[in-house]
Amino acid sequence: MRLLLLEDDPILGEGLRDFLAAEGHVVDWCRHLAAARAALQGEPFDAWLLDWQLPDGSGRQWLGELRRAGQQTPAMLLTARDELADRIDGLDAGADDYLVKPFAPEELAARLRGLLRRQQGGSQGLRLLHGLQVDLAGRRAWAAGAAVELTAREWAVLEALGLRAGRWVGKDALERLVLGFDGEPASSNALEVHVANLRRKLGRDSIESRRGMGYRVQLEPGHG
Amino acid sequence: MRHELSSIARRLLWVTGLGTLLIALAVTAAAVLTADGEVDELLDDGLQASAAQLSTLLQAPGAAAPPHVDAQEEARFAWAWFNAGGRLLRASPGAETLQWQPVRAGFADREHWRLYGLELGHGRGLLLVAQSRAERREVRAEIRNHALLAALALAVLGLPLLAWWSQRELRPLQRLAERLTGFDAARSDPRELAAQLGPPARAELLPVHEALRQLGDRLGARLAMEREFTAQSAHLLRTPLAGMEAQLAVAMKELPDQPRLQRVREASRRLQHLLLALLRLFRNEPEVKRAPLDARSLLAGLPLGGLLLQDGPPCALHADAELLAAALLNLVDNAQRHGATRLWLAQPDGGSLLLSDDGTGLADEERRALRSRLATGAADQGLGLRLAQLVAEAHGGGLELPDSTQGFAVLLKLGE
Repeated sequence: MRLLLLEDDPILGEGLRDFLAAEGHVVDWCRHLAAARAALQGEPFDAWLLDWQLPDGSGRQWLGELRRAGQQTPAMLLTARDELADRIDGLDAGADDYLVKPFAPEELAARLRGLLRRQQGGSQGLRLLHGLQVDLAGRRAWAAGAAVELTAREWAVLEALGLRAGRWVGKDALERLVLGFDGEPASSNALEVHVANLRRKLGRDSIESRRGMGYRVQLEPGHG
Repeated sequence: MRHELSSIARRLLWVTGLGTLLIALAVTAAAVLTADGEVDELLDDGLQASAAQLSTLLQAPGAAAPPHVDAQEEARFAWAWFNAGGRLLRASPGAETLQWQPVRAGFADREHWRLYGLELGHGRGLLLVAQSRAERREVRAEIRNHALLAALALAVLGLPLLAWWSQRELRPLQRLAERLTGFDAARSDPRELAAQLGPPARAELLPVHEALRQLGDRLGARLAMEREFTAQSAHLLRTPLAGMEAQLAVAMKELPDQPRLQRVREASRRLQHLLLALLRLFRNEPEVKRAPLDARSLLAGLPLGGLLLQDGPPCALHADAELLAAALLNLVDNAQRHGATRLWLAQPDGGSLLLSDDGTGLADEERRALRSRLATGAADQGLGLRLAQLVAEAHGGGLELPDSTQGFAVLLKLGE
């Protein structure tokens, strides 16, 4: 997933960015609300991880504004506010989940997988991709009952397309989703290499491509 | 033996009652003394007038025999007429034998008589009239007795009235005590005390009300400050603790073969649990956030420092996960320090947990002494047990140390 992390504490922010990156996510870390607003301009994110109290504003308030503007991206509030009233307020503002600091990053990662599963429309998250069973949240895939091994980047590509299943995703957009702002230096064909590898492992027709439109996958409900 | 406090009402009644009685007696004594003097004056005036009238009668030409005095009167009144040489000329019946000498004009006292001598003009001698002192004594006694009776009646009838009045006047004090007793110090803001007490009902209570108002204001401000401080402290500490946790998680991913990192992370988690639980427990009103949980899973997820938690069924209950985790963690610390290698967790009833270990345990006497220290909240019992006790008490329960044949056992009662 491509994640927007809004956290002003340098130690926590760096730790979460690096942990989630090691989990295979692409993380864009902003330390101020202004930077996060700029990042959101036209940039696609799969989920937002927002601190409540920031030097230049409130993450909770910004989330409320985004929801009122029609933004539906899954969002999780990460905050030191542990009172029940605050949790209710945060969830009512539009957060899909609420984590009270301190938390284990492993738990954060598990909750992100939960968000992804819910976005996929099922608690188990099993989908069918061109006849193959895939669990995007759990990053597992099977072909004829045998597990298919994909790299972290390949999963990132598949996840980015899967979250937008049925829609064309432009090459530039897909690159940003998979590589982020600070990702690996974009060689001209890094993305094409990952797509080619996916086609080889999952089937040639698993990922459609069309000049000028980008890439697309079709996912069907899986069998639980 | 408790020394019983003396009662203001009883002391007031005693003092005012006794004072009233003494005043009544003093007034009576003063009245009696005054009356005695007046009685003597009056009776002397009467004696003098009698002498004057009698002298007129006796000296009148052709005076008849003096009026007959009956036997009763004779005992109280007598007269005798002496010539200029002092020889008795005439006397009232029975008075001839009385010892009148020496006779002289004016008042005198002789044995049982009060005498008055009247010089008769023209050398006609001296008329002596006498009144028995018994009569005077009788009059005085009557006055004294009536006055005393009046004083006693006043005291006897007045005392109940005094008692009632004293109680009535002490009622503002009783009301103040009732309102102070009814003030729920555990739940109410001390700054509300003055309003709850209402205005002082007596001028003497004004300084008391004012002192209580100031005390309540200072205490309320202090408690509010401490509450704010602990809340702010918890808030400020959470992000740095989360930072430590995140960095350690990344470090362990980068260096999975470094067990020391795992130990550092465990220590960091223990610090988190302890710190946050302490900050919550020492808020003015620790708020327990109950939620359904499985205590066995909670315990299994804590850094047990090598202790082995024995298998068992889930321990489902409603408790505050953060506080319970801190309590269990500190009991686990105790178990470790006392050489335990294994832990057992049981649930004797819906709201209790029994944690036992196979460590060195305590001798019966030591266990009894520890129970006593826990009951009194003594400071030397070690933070671990005290923290677990505070957590249990915050849940409305308590901590017990049941007897154990091996190791050490702690029973956490979490209410509900």
